[in-house]
Amino acid sequence: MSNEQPTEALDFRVWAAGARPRLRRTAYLLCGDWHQAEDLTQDVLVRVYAVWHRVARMSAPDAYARKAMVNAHRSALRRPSRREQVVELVPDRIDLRVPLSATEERDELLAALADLGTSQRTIVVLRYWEDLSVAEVAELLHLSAGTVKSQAARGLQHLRRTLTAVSLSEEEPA
Amino acid sequence: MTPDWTSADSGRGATEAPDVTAALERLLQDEPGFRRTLDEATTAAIRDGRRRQLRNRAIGGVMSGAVAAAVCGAVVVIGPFGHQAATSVATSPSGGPLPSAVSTSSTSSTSSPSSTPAPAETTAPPETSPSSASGATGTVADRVQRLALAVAKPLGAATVVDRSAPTGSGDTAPYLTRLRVTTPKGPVEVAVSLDSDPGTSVALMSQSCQLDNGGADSGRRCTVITLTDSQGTWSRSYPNQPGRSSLEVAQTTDSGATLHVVIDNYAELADGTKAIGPTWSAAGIDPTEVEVLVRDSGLLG
Repeated sequence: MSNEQPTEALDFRVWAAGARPRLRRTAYLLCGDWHQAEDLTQDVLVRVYAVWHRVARMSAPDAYARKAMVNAHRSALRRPSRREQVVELVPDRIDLRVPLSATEERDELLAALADLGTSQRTIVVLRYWEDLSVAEVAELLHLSAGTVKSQAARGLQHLRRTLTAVSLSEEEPA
Repeated sequence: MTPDWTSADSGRGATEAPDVTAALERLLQDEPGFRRTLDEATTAAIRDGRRRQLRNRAIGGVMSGAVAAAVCGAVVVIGPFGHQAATSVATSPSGGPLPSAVSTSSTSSTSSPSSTPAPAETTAPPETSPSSASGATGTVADRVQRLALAVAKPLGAATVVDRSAPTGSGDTAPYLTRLRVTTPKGPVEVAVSLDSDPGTSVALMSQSCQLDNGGADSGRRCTVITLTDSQGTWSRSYPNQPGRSSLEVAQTTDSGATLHVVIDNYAELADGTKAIGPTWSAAGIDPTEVEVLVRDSGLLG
């Protein structure tokens, strides 16, 4: 990298160093694919830098990035190339050091997340991963608080059902 | 465990459904490494973010999504970069090198680059000579700024709010200078960029103009003033923003890059808010004179 970076670029790099892993994890929970999650994260970094002078002044790059992530994810879903229908979940690779039950649980949970609609999944991720309040999610997604509550409750119910099923299967005798 | 469905109703999610949060955490345990290094990613983000700034400025935030998607490649034209520093300078010698002695009051915590000045606010009086944009003296960035000052001359004293240049051999970011002129009737922004991105070509700008008038809800109406294969001048009005108008001049350089001038009366005030100032015609800008300044800028070949 050049040592002739504008000041805002330097500030942005410092912020991005911390935010990038967080953003990619959120992106993964939204889309269920690490490659796509990295692409989404890159998209968000671009969106944030485009308004960096503004968001940095408001000391709110994380909040803006979260909103940009949701928008970037929605945009990605609208692209024809992204309209993929996953019919079966096959892990890319199996790490033999990881107990099978953990892998299975991840697969089941990923499938359960995929079962949720885009909005519901986004609400669940924002509520239970990003730890936002109902009001914050409602504002970010331009939804009513009631919609967020009901969608979050249904999403939670679905995920817990999956978790319970995995837990029960682990307890079954061999 | 008996699920508590009411837990979705209030407060923070992670504290109310720790089992689900923990499960999501486990889902992330097989997180792979990044394909791009942090430096690669941020360098690309800065480069693409700048282009996005330009595009956002060009489409003015009023185009519909569909039209924006159709035109975005064509209207990566010109616009602002962020800025942190406030710099004031007494004079800007006509046609000569840009001021080297400036008093800077930076609000930022890190140092500015040397040869490519950080985006800064530089108050400069209007150029005094009609041919002040002429000549090939100074760096490319200096010539871009000189052209911007010459174009802004009829408006009054200009403030440089953004100035940028490629940061390295692999950086394809445009050279750009953006000026703000606060006239008695409101602000006007003058931006000049020299961009090697094919998305800024005269042909694509012309297509963008056609799309503006294509019946879609672009929020803009475009009038062609002059148009050849290598040069175009367009005027735009904005039905949704009464009183707003912009003038764009684009000229292909010998190397295939595009030199762009945009004069827009929807501009930022010093406090960061935006307002509509006098139209370019009311402010005394003559498109033919701008075209001459572009030709004499020393930036075309």
